Amino acid sequence: MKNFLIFLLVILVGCSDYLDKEPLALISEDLVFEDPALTDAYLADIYNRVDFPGLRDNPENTNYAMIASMGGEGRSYGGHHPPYGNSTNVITSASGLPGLHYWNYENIRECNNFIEKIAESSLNPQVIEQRSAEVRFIRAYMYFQMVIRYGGVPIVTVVQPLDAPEEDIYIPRNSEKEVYDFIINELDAISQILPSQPLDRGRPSKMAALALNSTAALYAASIAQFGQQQLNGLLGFPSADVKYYAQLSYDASKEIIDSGLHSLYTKYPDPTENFQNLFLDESPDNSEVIMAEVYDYSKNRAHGYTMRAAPHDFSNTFSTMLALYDFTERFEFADGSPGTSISRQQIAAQEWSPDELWNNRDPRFKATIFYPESPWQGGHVHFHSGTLRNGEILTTGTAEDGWPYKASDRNTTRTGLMVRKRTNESIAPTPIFTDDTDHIIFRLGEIYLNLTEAAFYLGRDGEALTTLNLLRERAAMPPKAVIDMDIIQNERLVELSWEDHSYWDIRRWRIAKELLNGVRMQGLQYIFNYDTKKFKITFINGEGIARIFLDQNYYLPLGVERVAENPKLVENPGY
Amino acid sequence: MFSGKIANRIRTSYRQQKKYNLKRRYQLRWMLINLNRIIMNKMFNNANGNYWNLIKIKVFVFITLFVLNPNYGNQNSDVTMVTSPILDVNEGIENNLLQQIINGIVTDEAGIPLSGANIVEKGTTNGVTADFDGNFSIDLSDGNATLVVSYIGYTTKEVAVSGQTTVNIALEESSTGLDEVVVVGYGTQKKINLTGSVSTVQTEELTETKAPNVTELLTGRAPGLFIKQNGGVPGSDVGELSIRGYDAPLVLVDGVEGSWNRMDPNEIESISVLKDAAAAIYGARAGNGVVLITTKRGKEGRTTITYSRNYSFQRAATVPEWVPSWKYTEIKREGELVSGLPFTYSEEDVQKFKAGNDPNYPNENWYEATLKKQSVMDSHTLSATGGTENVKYFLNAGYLNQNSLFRSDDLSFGRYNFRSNIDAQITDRINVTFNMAFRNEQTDEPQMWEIGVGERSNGIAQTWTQLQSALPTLPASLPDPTLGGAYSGFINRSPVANSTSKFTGFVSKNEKFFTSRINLSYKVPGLEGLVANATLNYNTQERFEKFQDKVFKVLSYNYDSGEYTEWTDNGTNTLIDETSRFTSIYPLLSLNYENTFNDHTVGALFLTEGIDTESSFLEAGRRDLISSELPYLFAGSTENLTNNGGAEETGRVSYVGRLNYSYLGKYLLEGTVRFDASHKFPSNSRWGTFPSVSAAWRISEEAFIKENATWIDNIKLRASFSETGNDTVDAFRYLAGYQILTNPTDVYLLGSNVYREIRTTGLPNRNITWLDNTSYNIGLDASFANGLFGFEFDWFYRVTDNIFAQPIDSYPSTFGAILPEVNLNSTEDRGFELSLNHKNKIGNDFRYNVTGSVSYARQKYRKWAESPYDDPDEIRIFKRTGNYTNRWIGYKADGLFMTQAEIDNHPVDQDQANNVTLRPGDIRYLDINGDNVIDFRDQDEIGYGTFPDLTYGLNMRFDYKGFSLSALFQGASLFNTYIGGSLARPLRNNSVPYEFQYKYRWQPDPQDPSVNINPNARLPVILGDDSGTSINNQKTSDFWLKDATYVRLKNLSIGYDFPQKLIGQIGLRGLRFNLTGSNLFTLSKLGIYKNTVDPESTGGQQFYPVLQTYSLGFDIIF
Repeated sequence: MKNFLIFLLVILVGCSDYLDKEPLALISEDLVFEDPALTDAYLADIYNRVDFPGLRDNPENTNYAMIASMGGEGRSYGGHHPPYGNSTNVITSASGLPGLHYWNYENIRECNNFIEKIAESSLNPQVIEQRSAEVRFIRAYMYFQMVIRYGGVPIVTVVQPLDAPEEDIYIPRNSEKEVYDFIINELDAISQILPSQPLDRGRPSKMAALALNSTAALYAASIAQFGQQQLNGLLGFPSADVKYYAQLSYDASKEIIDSGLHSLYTKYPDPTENFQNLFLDESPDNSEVIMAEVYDYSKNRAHGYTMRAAPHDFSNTFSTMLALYDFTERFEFADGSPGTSISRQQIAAQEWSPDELWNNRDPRFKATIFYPESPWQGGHVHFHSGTLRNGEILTTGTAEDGWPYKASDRNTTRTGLMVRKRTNESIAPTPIFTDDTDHIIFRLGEIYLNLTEAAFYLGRDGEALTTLNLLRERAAMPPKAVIDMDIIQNERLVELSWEDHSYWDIRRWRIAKELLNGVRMQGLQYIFNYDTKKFKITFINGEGIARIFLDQNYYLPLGVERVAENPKLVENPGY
Repeated sequence: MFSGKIANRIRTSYRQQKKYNLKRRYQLRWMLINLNRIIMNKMFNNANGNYWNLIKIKVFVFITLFVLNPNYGNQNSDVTMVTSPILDVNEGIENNLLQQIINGIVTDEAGIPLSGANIVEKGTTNGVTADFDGNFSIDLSDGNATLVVSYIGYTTKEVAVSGQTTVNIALEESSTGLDEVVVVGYGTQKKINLTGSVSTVQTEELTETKAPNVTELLTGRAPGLFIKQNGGVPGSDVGELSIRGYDAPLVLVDGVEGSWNRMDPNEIESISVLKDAAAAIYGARAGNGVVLITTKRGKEGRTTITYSRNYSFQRAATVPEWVPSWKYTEIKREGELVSGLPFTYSEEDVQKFKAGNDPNYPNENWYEATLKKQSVMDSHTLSATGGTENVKYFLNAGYLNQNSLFRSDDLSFGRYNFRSNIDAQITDRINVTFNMAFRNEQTDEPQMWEIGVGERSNGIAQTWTQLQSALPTLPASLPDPTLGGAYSGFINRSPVANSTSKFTGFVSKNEKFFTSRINLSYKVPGLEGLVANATLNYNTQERFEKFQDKVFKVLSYNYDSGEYTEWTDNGTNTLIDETSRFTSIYPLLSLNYENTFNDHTVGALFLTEGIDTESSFLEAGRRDLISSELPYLFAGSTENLTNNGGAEETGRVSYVGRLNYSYLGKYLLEGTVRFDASHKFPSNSRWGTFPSVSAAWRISEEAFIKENATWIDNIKLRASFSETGNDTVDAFRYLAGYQILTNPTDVYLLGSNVYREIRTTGLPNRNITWLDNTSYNIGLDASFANGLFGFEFDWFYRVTDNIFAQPIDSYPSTFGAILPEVNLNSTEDRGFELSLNHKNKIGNDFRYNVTGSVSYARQKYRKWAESPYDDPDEIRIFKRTGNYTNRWIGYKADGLFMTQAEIDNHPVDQDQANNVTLRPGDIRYLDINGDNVIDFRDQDEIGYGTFPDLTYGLNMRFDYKGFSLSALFQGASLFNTYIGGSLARPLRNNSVPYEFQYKYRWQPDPQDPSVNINPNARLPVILGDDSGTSINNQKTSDFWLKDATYVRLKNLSIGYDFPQKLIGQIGLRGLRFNLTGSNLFTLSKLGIYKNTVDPESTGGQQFYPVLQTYSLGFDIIF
């Protein structure tokens, strides 16, 4: 018996081991900045948390349509999806704005930490310089995402310690001007460091830094031009700043274009095919791409863009990105006549074939929008809600030639138009995310438009017109003879539609209220006349309610909670 | 003059036994010495000190040898033997052969033998116990002696022998329960001597309930313990357990943490709920109270074999009633009319659906097509118990099969379980108990997960999501059902196909639990009352999971053209295998002392224990299987294959001490202290000290009551104070570092390089430590008139300090860090429990017992790190410190706007856009601050949380002859259910409206959609744009927050015990039938939602329902 007790006592002696556990998956910080592989793994997470495609709060990828919905280009299928809610509801300080807000101070802290720590590490000095510049680019990009939403935000460039004095932690907003200046200065500095061509696709190059610089300065210039100063200068610019920022933007754009490293994509003779492939061609000779986020399904990095955008019957799931007729009117006809030259009354009054209404548009339209009978994956996209045959409207079954009397429910019940841009025809319809088309962050087309607009602000109308016409030429559209702000705006909205620009553009031009407030965007319903092979088109409300865009919406609210947690943060006016 | 035969027999068996014991003792000794030698050698030769595995093996060798010890077989040959007299008596027999032998039988009032009853000659230590049939035989030193006959649960009786040789004694059931023994931390105690607050549930109550799991068993059985059921999915129908409204308590089965909820109820002897200082002996894990489950042990006597079978039908307690097709199309048209959108259905379509005579215009009930009205649960249990004075055993084998409401029968749960609990008295000083249990649980589900790139979501809830959007206008079946699932109106959904493995694939989960425990107790010679205990627990768990996701078609069929339309395929042709294992080793050593010196009874316990666990998992997946009939990894493609693995270790060491003192059983005092250390915390804050003190005064033992008020059985005043803890925080928060993100899709690509991602674990907290609970409890127990009336009352107050929290509110979001969890916050709980008991017996045969109980508990933020609010509205709405934790903040609704004029004349800007977005049928909100604008400042407290503050129960039992009837009602108040999702927003995301929504809807006049024509209209206007209702109506408000007060008949059971006389003739010793129903009816305050929303189900009716069970069972005892 005694032995048994001794035996058990021995077990208890062993208990001291019980407490000495190792965390089996924790890597110490010192190690991270001494091992280049770990530094890169940390950097990879910082890249990922930028959220370039804008899919925050949304693992199902239904937020792709967010900026386009906000800007009136389209809507999401689901009335309960954030893009629809955010774009049609009154925005208040308590709205929350899922998927639209961007307050990424967590990743900014990681950036600051990365920059501070790598500077002290024993890695190769060249690696330190390059990686540090990449992270500064990311930080500038994130500040840009915040300043375009909220105006001035607090600029944090150090890792705040837990025991920092209160005044260093509860910080007030910097002014909008200060934030733009910070971004521009940072980009000036790092464009001296980054290589002209990216080290790897996905990393920023000098040209990417210039591209962001060009865009940020242009935003500043236009806000100085069209906006007002508010909150004692926290928001807005003195109007005298227009030319200053326009010049900065112009210079950056010019440097990119003059470098000769990037050129407009013109690989395909057919302008529609060319414009489609611009977004899909991932080969190095697609030099229009200045920066893109890389995807590869076989390496477990894929997204759901095509799956979410593709029309029903082809796609496996949501077919969620719907276009609104009002915005498609911005696309001119191929001869250069305005998109409204066939009026809505005319459209409603007679039957139309796709050739009469759609196929004769700007080639970019066909590459951007799914409309009735758009070719797709070896078939045609149907939107009609019935077929008129022998005086009767048929909605079930198919004709002897295979014509379905009615399109899939999901295609008939909303706007009758969908988004084709950036969709990839080669993606098979599966319910999992297999789309691995790279996400373009900057492309040369945008820089042309930046240059056009900046030149216009600087009074160099001729240069503005030439640059604009170069883009139109690529699209096989007749050149414009004169230039004005409307033309610049329309061209930009068309060329960059569904690329997450419209909402930001119409806000900085301060035309959003005029375009959106009280407007109920329209959709189309079609009845196919089997005998004439044409469509009878009815205009319908493409949205359940009229949009609201109020003066205060030129800036988004910081939100009740952020203001409550830091008394030094002042909410934007009107909220 | 008396039977020398019997005396001889006793002597013979005693000698045999002694000889046998001696032999065995030497065997064992030899074995132990050798085992020890081997282990010690290995240990000292193994410099790495990694001898744990070795010890594990050796302990098993030891255990195995021990079990195989042929002790039981030898003794059992003499089954007719009268139970051996206990040791002291034998000594007496040897010394004094001049005795009188008395034979007799001990029964209860109904004549049922009381096996194990104690018979002692008064004033001596001479005593015996009755055998299984209640028979006893005792040698008395004096023919005129008095026998003291006692049995747990019965009133002790004294019988004068007065020269008789045969005495039959009938004991009366004790109504006071005063001698009830309850399981407490690391031991047992007489209930009457408890100083803490302990509720118990005993075995009879447990097995009559016939529940499939332990939480359901416990529901309503112990005051202060509340269990909220969340639905009846076979295999995961687990309720949330809460003592006094706290978070999940510590649950121990025979002292060990582990999977307990799905163990076989037939294995359970008793369940104790330790609520105050009584729990404190478990220190760092005891902060939310402790539930002790004790398994059955063998009883001395003839082998009893019990076979029980229980067959149940289960139905949904609430069945959602969706509208038929014509009502659906009508509402859809109305929504589109209001929204100004084109009509999906024409008026003619509505009429065709209403007429119902065109196969293209059906009225389908997808719920009925997918789910059965009832499912079956079947269980069998075979148990055996018995033994001799030296070896007792309890053996149990059980089988349970629980089917589901799925028509496909592809969702089910099955369990088989074995247990062997053995007690062996090895020598007069050494006693060994040995438990070994194994349980196998198999859960099968159709594959309902949405498998994205490495992500899965939804599961069984997917079926309800799909039912919600399945249009009654579409048929649920296809003429050829083998082609695929019938299209239900939303993309490629088909709830019927989705709940069928043939189409979707399967999820198969298999879990195996092995638990073992050996305990050796040794009465230390030299000090009377000192017992040394050594225990070793070894548990393992293995889990295998397999997911197969198949590709299947969804089609619709046109009855006119006879054509199928194919919708896009579902599924991915993926297979995932997962396996994980868990092992824990838990040794424990203790010294226990108990003795009485004159009027003073003293008890002491010293104990030390350690727990060491390790777990690991491995996961692998492949896509594109060659054939869906080959659900094995090898059949998958080598492209896009995934795998993952991980491991974790935990450890804990504790020292425990307890002292008890009792003076004349009148003044009782208990003190405990526990030192706990956990691997989770840094060495400087690893150890915690958790003391408790409790005292009781049995007022009824005072002479002035005892002598004057004999109608008082017991009055006891209790008071306790304890400090306990809670360490439910992630380990290693004291270290800063980076973690590799483990999801296969957590990669980033730069060029052609794939980068794994690492992410900071956040700022470390080098001082992180336990969460502290300080509890105070005052209790009063009373029992009157021999148990006719009684009550127990407890008042409690608990402060929780050092609550782990990220000081997120004390740093603005621009700080940007994942903040360390700091021991920061503090809450306080207070409340009371009261239970009243009435027990009575009318005539000889009718007995009844009614217990009613009420518990109230509410928690407050005592000190909460939060923003420095300066705005009075922010303080009112957001500030936590000083407020109740379960306040629900929202807007206050003021009915609906009935006309456009009401909106136009409304002085308050409700939408912050001059009311241009409002329409008739929208909710009007109160402008609380009177500033004529509705903004966040107009929010206020509108209700309680979802967990009730007030719970009540009524437990009744009636016995008449062999019949028994018991009923258990449970209710709850002071909590809310939020009506959300499709319950508040019909047509949202393709949702089909419910009947109640049809009945109470705002119904637009076809001529003018701003005018309502339904006089019953109580719900906001329905929109046709897929949002269901406007953003205005979606604000969190008391329009949707409903008082969920309910009373539910949780259990009703009718039983019949066949009389002994009758069944004895067919060789049975017991036969009982049982008819049981659970959740039979419910009253709730949910108003128009009550037929759709189950008050106990947090998710409304969007998930597998709470079940109603009807079962028929019988127990046969051989």
